Amino acid sequence: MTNAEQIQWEEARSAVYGFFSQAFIRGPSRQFLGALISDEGTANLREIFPDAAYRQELAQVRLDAQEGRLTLEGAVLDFEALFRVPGPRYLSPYESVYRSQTASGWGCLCGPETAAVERLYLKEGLGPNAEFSELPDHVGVELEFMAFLCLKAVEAMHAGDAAAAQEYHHQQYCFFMEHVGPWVRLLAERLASQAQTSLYRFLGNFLNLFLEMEGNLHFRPGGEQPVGRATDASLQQGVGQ
Amino acid sequence: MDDSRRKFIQGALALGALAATAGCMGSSEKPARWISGGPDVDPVSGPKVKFVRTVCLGCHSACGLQCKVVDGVLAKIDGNPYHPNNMEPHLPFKTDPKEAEKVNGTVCAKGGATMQTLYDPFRLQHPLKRVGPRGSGQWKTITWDQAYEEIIKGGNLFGEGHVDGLAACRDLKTPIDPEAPELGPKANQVVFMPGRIEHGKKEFTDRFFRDAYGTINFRMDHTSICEVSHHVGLKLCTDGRSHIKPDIMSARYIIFFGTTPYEANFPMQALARKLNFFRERGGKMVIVDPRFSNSAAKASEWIPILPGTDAAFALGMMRWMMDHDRVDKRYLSFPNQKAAGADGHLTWSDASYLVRQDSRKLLRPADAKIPGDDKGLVVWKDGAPHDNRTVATADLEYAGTVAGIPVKTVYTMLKERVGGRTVKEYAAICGLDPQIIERTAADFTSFGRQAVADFYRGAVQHTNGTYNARTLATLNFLIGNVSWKGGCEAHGGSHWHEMGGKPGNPYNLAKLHPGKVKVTGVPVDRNKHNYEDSTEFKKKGYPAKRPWYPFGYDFVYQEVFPSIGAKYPYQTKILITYWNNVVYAAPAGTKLAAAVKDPKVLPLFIAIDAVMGETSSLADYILPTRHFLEDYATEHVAPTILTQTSGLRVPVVEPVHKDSKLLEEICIDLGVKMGLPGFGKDGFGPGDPLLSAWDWYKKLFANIAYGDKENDAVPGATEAEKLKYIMDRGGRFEDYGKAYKGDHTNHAYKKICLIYNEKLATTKHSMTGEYFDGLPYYEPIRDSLGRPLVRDENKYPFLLNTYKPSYHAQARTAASPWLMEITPEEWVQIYAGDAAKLGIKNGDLVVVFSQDNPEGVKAKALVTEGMRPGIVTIPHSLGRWEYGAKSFKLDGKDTPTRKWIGRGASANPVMTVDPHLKDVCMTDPIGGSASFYDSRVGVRKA
Repeated sequence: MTNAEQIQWEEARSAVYGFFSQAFIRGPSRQFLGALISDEGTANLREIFPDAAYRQELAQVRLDAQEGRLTLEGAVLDFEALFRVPGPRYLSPYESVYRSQTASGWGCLCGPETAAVERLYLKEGLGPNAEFSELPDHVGVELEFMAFLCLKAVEAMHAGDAAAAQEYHHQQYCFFMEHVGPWVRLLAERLASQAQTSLYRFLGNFLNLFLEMEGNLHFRPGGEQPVGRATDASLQQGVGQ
Repeated sequence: MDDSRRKFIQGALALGALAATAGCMGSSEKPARWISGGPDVDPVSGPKVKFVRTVCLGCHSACGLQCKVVDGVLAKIDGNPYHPNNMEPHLPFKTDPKEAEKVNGTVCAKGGATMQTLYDPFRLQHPLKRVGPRGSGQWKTITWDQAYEEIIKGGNLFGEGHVDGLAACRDLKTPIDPEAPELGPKANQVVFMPGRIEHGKKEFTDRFFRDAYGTINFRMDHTSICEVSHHVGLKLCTDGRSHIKPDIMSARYIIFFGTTPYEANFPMQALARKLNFFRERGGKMVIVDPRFSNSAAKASEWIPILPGTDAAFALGMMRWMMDHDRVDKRYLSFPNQKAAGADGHLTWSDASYLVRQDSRKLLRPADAKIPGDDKGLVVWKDGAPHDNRTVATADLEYAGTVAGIPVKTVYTMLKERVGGRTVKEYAAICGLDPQIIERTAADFTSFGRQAVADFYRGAVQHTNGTYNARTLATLNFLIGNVSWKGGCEAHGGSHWHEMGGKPGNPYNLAKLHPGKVKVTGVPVDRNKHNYEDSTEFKKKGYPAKRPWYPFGYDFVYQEVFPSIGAKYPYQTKILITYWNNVVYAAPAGTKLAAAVKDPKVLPLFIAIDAVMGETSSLADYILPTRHFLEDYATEHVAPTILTQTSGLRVPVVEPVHKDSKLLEEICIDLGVKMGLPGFGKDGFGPGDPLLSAWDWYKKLFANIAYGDKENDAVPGATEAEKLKYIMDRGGRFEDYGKAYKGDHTNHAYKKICLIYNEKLATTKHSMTGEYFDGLPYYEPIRDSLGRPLVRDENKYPFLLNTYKPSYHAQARTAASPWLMEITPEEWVQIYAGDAAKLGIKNGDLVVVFSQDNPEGVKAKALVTEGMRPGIVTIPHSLGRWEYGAKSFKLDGKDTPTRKWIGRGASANPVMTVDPHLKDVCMTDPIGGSASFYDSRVGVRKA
């Protein structure tokens, strides 16, 4: 890829991480749902992956919304049950709950992973915004941090600072391998299976697909795969497998 | 770049635009810390939300509330971020109220659920009058006019004969009993008995019942079923302070006796929050409690003591401390404030004072034949007696004679008392290993003045409660920690004085009362009166017919009903209760109901209540009153809070039931109709009316706004602006940074610490004629005649214990569906070993019974390892039999019920009845505390 293409690629990945971050932190709004199922929104989303199942689920979201099976109220209730209210469908969107789990059940909130990611954020000068009161290992925060690291790489590439860009790629690799990778796909699978609306089923599968692609392209165990050198073949492999 | 990658980029970038709102974190040189476990984003927000800040009454903690009202309906309750109970640190007082809307303080489950009791469909809506026999559950709706007319004028109100009304009973001159004039005038036969009554409100009812109506029985409130011997014990250890708390934020070691600060006590939220900081700093917390509580779970050590033996534990600690020279003798040897002050102390002690061994009194200069007036006391130094004010230090130990009078220093007497038993013997009393006492004493004396011994209800709601309180408090005196940063706080930030009388206050409410009455006589519970001053004593000596409580500095709540039943010391003609549920809330309270059931004994019983409670169901009239979220008050806080705090309770919403009235409105209506002084258009003075609750509260609020000192007012050009300034913030709050001054707390107690109390030591028990003990003392459990309690331990092998879960409070939470949903079914908690012996499994229905209640109470068992063997615990707040759990007849129809309100059991009905009096629980003869933890019970499978 050319440098410009690499920059675009990095920006695109950042956009996807950011999209999921907001979807899992804020829950659905009328604006979000409206944009998602609009002609333009659906068309753009459709282009992201050529996978047939993916496109079919996306179409189902649009159809459900058009035919009244997917309402804002229903989406909000689904979001609350999945991400906020500790009932039977609750996903517990925190890394330490997944990572420190034992044979007898889920792990605890505020485990060592919570402190570990908080240290990484603080190292980058990142603190929670005033109105934000979630834990630092919430899935939305970790995905936002990935988005941040992608954009920092973009900044470095714009500035022609290859060393800095490499450093941010390295940080992406470390954060993905140590935090996002080990648990977010599991959460995505549970999201897809436990959601009651087509919207969150779609988002669960979409996230799973995206992380699979990321793993195949950039974050393989045993060694870093520089972003700029990812082959188109590996992109194809990561899609729809 | 291939096509699939290009399409990915195109779609993804469009996706980015779709979700283009601010993220959850931002970059800065000094990034904010992440809030671990913080609440979710508030779902109740937006321009339609109106914020009202008030003070909670879900329990007695008086936390600030930030209420969110949407279209006139209370939609959500959060904590007031200005209030020190709710935030660490709380917001600076100058913070703009609109800015403060962005911050939520914490609120506990009880506080958040109070909106459900506000909108409780079973609240009473109109005045009720009984239409069947008293207590038969048959009522009719009447108007306020009819209620007032009948209550004031009396008459043949129930077809049972003539009943005197309030007007006829207000006789301020004729003695009740000409042969016993000390009992006072007939107006005393009207008794006002509120349960929970708060500041602002209690001063108002004092104005009505004491200063206008003229009864000595102006406020027989509830504290004796709460923790009054804690207050009384501390008042007998200090010059006027009734409450201590550890300075948690700076302490390094805290031992809590008989309290669980992570669940109860007050302010519960602030205690728990501060203890989290304390533990994060490595502070050592020890919990002394027979039950493994939430607090014990977070403590460094849990000591499962035998209930009622806390004083023995403390004396054992003292024994070890004295044997190992771990007492701060330097502090104890300072005989006056100036001498102690030179060494950095704000307090001093009486340890060096000489006590006459012939009369139990402190030796005065005149006794010792040395110069000095009667304000001086005598100490021993350099082989001679001295006025305590004239020397910098004094001998701690001396026993001999002065001017022919046998004397000992207080410390010598204490040392002899403590030395009367070995640590092993003290431990045996407590049912503990001696090493536990030794280790605790060693730890307690290893942190300088940053160690504190605190205690609350569990240690004092015994017949020996006041002695326990005095003994535990003395532990602090022996290490000289009072008023030090990190030590024992006996004052706290306190409050601005709402009743006025301070230099900055615009209104002196005590003086704004034309025609004020001065009351005389003996209260029906005999509080603050000596039996020896009575005609009864002169005629027959000891024992009194029923106990008298010369140190009942508050009131002896559980004694009011049986005294009414016994017409002792005189007949009560009218009983008026307010938010009172003594029948449910007092130990053996079910026995109290009989005392008020006979109209010939108690002719008129008026309940002011928001619901049909177990006690108000026994009344002749029920006047519906408001919920606290519709009400006013001026709330204080415990010394846990080191900064000055005056919370304001204000109505959050319009009254849910328009035909209900505030207590103040009822008093004003009665006062105006009866022409009582201090009420009406010239109530405060010519042209200064008292015609509404706001007429009263605006003066109290103004005193707080202007402050105690001159030039201490809050911003605002006018009184109205100043009122708005404090009401917008939910009160007046000193800033967090003012908690300390140097090495001391900022509003510290600066007076004497009394190991020996002369007044207590020279006062006699009204039933035995024996002197009380003036020193720290362990006394076994005794009945009203001073006899040891005897129960068949084979038949009743368990001691009954209670506690307050963090999600319930007293008699006011069982109507909340939210709180009941999180309340477990298993309610009788029993040690697993004991359960195994009885064949009881977790979830089995069991009966807890006693000699006084063989039928017992039923509930499901929780089998646990977290309990001292031989103890059964039933937490308080459930087992209701009224309050909506049962139907009553209203205007000929059965009211609907919600049976879940009656779920579970209460321990109170099986508690021990005093073997001599037979109509009331056992009681501490000094402080007046009801005995909650001395009952022996049996347990069987149902």
